[in-house]
Amino acid sequence: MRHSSSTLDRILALDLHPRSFGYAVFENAGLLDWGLRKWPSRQHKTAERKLGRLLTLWQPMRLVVREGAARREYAMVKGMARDLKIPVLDIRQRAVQDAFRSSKRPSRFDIARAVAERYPELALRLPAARKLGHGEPFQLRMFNAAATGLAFLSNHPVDGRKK
Amino acid sequence: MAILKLTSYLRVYRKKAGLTLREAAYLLGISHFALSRYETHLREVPLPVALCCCLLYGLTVPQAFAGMYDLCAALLARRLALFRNRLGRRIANNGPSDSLTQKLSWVTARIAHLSTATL
Repeated sequence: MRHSSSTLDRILALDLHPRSFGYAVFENAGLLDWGLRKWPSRQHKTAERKLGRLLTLWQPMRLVVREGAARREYAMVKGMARDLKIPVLDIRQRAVQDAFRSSKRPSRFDIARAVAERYPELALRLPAARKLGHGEPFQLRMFNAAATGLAFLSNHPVDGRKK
Repeated sequence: MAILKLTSYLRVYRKKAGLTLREAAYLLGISHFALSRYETHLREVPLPVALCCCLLYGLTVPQAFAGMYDLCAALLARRLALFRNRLGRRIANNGPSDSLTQKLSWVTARIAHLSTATL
């Protein structure tokens, strides 16, 4: 990975849920960090602290949030971003699907698989396909966040980045 | 808006290598608490640990410590420019000598090298 300061663009992509979020940090097209954070219900201070640590560590230029986020968590992110003067961008689910569309409309698992192909370091954490009646795997949130970041990057190219 | 490189990218390369914090700390011979602090820029990385990290992940110093490297290069370039001015004044006052001229050309070459190395 080459770090060129003249065209550096660092983003933090989030997939927000009640009591948890998945995140992915990108620097230009390179994936820097990824993971999941969760907190007990009604402990928004904990959530703020966890998100605050990520913001301090990675100092993103902008936050990218997947559409359909939980209202309270979204308000928390907006508030923290406003304090730190970081712009927040919403990415529509359609935009994420379009970024990974081949012939048919891709499911979240298809998108997660495509993300893992692009970033092999994520392949170890790729969950098995969901069976009928089973809930969505927790780890998928991380892939949703990475897909959101990639959808943003495909629409906002930076010099030296593959589109 | 241009943003700065991070002080170090140790966490990035550890995760890319698929190592956990404890595993990497074991390989580096330090506690995972210490490694966590180095990775989150809460503490400066000691030189032996920095070199071990570069060897472990197969990195060069500018790759692993991109922000710190740029900062050092910028500071050094400024000091070299000041030193070049001082040498220039000495040559103007005392007349050119072999050693002063040689030093001046060396300093000028270092400044040129630093400006290309940090691009």
